[in-house]
Amino acid sequence: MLIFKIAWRNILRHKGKSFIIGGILFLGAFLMVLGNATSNGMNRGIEENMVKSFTGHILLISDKEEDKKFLFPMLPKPMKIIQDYDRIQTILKQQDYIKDFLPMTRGGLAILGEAQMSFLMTYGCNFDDFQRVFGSPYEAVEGDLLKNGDKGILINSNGRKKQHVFQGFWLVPEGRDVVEANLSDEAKKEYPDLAIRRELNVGAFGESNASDDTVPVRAIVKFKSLNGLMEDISIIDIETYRKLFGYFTAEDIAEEVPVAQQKLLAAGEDDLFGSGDIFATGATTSVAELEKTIKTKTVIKRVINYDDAAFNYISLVLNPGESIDGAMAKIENLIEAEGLQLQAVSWRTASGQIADLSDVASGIINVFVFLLFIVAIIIIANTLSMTAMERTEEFGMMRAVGARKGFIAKMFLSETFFLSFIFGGIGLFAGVIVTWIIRPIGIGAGGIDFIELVFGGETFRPMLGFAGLVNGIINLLFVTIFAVIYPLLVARKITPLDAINRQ
Amino acid sequence: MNVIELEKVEKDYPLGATTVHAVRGVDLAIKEGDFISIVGPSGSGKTTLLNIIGCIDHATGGAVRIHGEDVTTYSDKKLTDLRLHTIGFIFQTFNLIPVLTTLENVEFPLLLMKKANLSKKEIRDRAVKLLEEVGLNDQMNQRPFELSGGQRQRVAIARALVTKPAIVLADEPTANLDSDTGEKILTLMKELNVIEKTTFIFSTHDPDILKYANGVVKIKDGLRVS
Ligand SMILES: Nc1ncnc2c1ncn2[C@@H]1O[C@H](COP(=O)(O)OP(=O)(O)OP(=O)(O)O)[C@@H](O)[C@H]1O
Ligand SMILES: [Mg+2]
Repeated sequence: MLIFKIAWRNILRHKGKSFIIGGILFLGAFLMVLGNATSNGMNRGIEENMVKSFTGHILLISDKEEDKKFLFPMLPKPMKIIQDYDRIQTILKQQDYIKDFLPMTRGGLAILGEAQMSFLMTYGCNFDDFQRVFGSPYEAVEGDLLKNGDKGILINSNGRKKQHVFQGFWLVPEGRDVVEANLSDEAKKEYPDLAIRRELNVGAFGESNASDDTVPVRAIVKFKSLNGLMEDISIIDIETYRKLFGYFTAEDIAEEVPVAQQKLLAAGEDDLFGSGDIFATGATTSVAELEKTIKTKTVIKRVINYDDAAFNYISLVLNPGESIDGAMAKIENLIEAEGLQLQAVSWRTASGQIADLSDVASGIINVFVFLLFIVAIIIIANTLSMTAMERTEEFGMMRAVGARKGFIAKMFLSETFFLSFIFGGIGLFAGVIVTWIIRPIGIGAGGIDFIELVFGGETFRPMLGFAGLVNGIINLLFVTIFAVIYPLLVARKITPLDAINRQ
Repeated sequence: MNVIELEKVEKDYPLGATTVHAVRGVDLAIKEGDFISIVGPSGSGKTTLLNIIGCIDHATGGAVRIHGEDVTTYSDKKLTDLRLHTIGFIFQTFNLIPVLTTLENVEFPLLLMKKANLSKKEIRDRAVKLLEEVGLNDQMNQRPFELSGGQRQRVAIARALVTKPAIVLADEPTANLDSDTGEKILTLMKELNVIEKTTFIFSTHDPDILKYANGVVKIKDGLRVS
C-alpha cells in the first residue's frame, strides 16, 4: 500500500517523464493492436475470398500427387487423377463437418495464336455444382454463365486484356459484339479495327495424348474479389476439359452400357487406375482399344453423369465453425480408415504463392510491430534509467532510513507497471475501438489489384479476435518488462552514499 | 558494554591518481546512554566517521562493532535492517522523501518495519507526538518543498527518533536552525537520552551546544586528537 501510494505520487510528480513513457506505451499498444487487427483482417480477407470463392477449405488430391502447391502453379504439370470418385463421394457425404464438396480438374492451356503461344490456367467443373458450392464468386461482364451440360470456356476480364496484349485479338463471348466500355486502353486504340475472336484454339499443356481443339468463349467473367489475382484463371466445362486433356469422359461412359461391355470396361479400368496417370499418358493399348470399342457401340441409353470419369482434385467446404486444422485431422483419419488413395491439403498450401503473398503482407506488418517494440523498449528504458539516476537522492534517502533494495525495486516496478496498465491499456482500448469502427465501414482497395491483394479482398476489414487482444496484452507486458530491467538494476544499485555524494 | 566500538578505523577515498585519507586510524568506544559530540574543523572527517558508524559507508580499514558485532562483514540486507531498527540518522543536508507529507515522512521508517507490531493508529500517534515536540503542529500535511530548510531538518530529526533507535547519529543537526529551535531540539534529544537511554553522537561547529554533551571527541585531519 505504502509502495503504491509512493509510486502513484511519483508518477504525478514526474509528469513530463510519465507522459513520455505513457505516450510511448499508448502509441505502442495502439499500433500493435491495429497491426494485429490489420494482418488478421488481411489473412481473414484472403481466406474468406479464396476459400469461399474458389478453393474451399481443404482440397483432396491423389495420394500419388507430388506437388501440393498444385492449384495456381507457375508451370502446370499434369495432375494425377483421383481414383474411385464414386466411393469417395458417398463417404464425403456422410461427414457432418463437411458442408459441401466439388470435384474439379486443373490444367494449363496453351493458346495457339498466329503470333505466339500464350498461356492460361483452366479449371474444369460442372457449372451448376460450382454455383452450388461456391455461390456466385464471379459475374458475367459479357455473355452468360453456363449450366451443367453447356460447353465452353469462361475467360477472366483481366485475363482477356492480357491475352489481347499477347495475341493481338480481343475475346468476346459467342454470339456477342464488342462492348466498347469494357475495352482496355490498348484495345481502344485499335478499335474499330480491333481483331475479334469468339473462340480459342487451345492445346492442353504438357499432355502427350492431349489434343488441340477449338473452344467457344461463353462469357467474360469478373471475380467479385481478387479478380486481379485470378486473371490467368479460366473456367471450362468438365467434358471439354476431359476431351482436351485426353481423359476418359462421362459421355464415353454413358455410351457404353451393354452388359457385355461392362467386363471390358472393368478390365480397362483396372489397368487404367492401377497405373495412376494412364489417362494422362493415354498411350496404353487398352485405352485405345477401349475407346474404340466404346465409340463403335450403338447408343442404348444416354444418361450422362458428370461425376463419373476423371477429376484432379476435390474442394471441401467446411461447416461454419469448423477449424481447418481440426477438419484436416479428421479427413486424414478418414482417408486412412477407408483406405482412400487420397491426400488432404489445406487451401493455404494448395494455393502456394498466392497464400504466401498474404503471408508476406502480414509478415511486413509483424516486422513493423517488432521494430516498434524495439524502439519503444529502447526509449522507455532510456527514460526510466534517466529517471532512476535523477532520483538518486530520493532512493538513497529511503535506503538510508532502512528501505531494502527490494523496496526500491518494488516501488520502481509499480510506477512502471502503473504507467503500462494505464497508458498501454488506453492504447489497447483505442486500438480496439478504431478496429471496431473501421471494420463495418471497411477500407476500399479502389479497384487496384495490388492493394486488393494486400487487403485480401475488395475491402479491408481489420479484425481483432480475443486471441489478438490477449496477444496485445502479452506484448505490452513484454515491452514493459524488457524496458524496465536495466533501469531497475540502476535503481537497485543506488546507495545512501551515492545520494550524499550528490550534494 | 560499549554500544559502539571503532578500532583503527580508516577511510581512504581514491581521488584521481592520489588517495584522500579522510579517516586515519580512529579508535572510539561509546557506551549506552552517552551523549557524545564530535568536533573538528571543516574537512577533518566528522561526516565520514558518522557515515561509517551509521552503516552508510564502509571503512577501508579497521573494525566497526555495534552492540559488539563487527558490521564490516555484514551484507547489504543486514546493514539496511540495522539502519532501520538500531540507528537513527540525521543528515547534514539531504533529508526527506519529496512525495510524502511531513507526517508520512516521519511514519515512513515505522511502515518499513514489518515486525514492529504497531497498528496504523500507534504509528500515526507516535509521529504526530514527535512532530509536535519539534514544533511542526501546523506543517503535518505539507510536502517537503513547502517547508523551510529548518523545518525540513526538524522533520528529519523526528523521523530519526520515531523508531526509538538505540543509537542516534546527527551530522550538524542544528546548523540550519535558529538558536531557539536548536535549543529545543537538543533539549528533546537530551530527554530521550536520559529517559530512553538512547545513545547520541552528533557533530557540530557550535560551541553553544557542546554543553549538552557528556563527552567530546576532537578530530583533525582524520585523526583523533582527544
Ligand atoms: N566522496 C568523497 N570523495 C573524495 N573525498 C572525500 C569524499 N567525501 C569526503 N571526502 C574528503 O574527506 C575529508 C573529510 O570529509 P568530511 O566530509 O568527513 O569532513 P567534515 O569534517 O564532515 O567537514 P565539514 O565540517 O565541512 O562537514 C575531506 O578532505 C573531504 O574532501
Ligand atoms: Mg560534514
